[in-house]
Amino acid sequence: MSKRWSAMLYMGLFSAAYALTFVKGFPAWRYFPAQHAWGWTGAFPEPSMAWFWKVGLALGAGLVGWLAGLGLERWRPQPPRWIDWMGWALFTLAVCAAAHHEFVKWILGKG
Amino acid sequence: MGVHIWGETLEPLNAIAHLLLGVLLLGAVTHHAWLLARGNFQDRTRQVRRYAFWASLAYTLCLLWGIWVYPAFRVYVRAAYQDTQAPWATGLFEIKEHWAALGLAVLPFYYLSSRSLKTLDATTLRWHAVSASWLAIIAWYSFVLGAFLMDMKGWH
Repeated sequence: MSKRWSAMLYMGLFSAAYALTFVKGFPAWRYFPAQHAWGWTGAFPEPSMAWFWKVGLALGAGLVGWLAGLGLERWRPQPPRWIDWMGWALFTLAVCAAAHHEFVKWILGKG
Repeated sequence: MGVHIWGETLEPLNAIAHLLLGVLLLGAVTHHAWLLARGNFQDRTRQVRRYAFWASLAYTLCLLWGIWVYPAFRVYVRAAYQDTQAPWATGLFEIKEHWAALGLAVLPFYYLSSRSLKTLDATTLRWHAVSASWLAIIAWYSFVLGAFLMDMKGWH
């Protein structure tokens, strides 16, 4: 399989960056459409577009992983098994962190 | 709120496009998952490649249309109604948007592994099946929940 290094490092770094945004206190740069303004968490009471920030951050981290994978592929064509496991573990962790965060915040009302 | 939200002018059309792309995505991921479940997908590599191609394309386009729809939904539906009247719906929707974004993490592996099925070792084949299963789960959850929430409140 070609670009396996890139695919797995992209998966791992994308997932890790996305999951980090659920950590309390992580910088949350957000857009507030009613004010047409950017700001930090809690800067305005209006609805924000924080999701765009999360996706953008994750894509940026994933891109770094992709480019690193292109370089590593020249050194060793296929990544070791632990890279696969790490990528999938980080992805699964991010999926679970997202579900847990929203379940506690909105359904249990403890956010 | 007295302000123009990005994308709101074409909101109904975009919501329909988002829905139709979701139908295309469901068709592709479900056919792919069905082939994997039957266990003989290595004899049908052309079909797997075709489903993976359409699933990847539909996933990307569906997400892009979701991004277009999102600001008006966020202000007029979620903030104005769901957050106060039905917070559980907000919670379920938030999980959908996170999972849809995280599907992007899997998409390159899913697509690239589908292009070389015949040369993959057994472990990588299993990871390919895992990636296809995750995308099917995300697509079905997103589609069913999105349709339910649209029915619950509608647009504007």
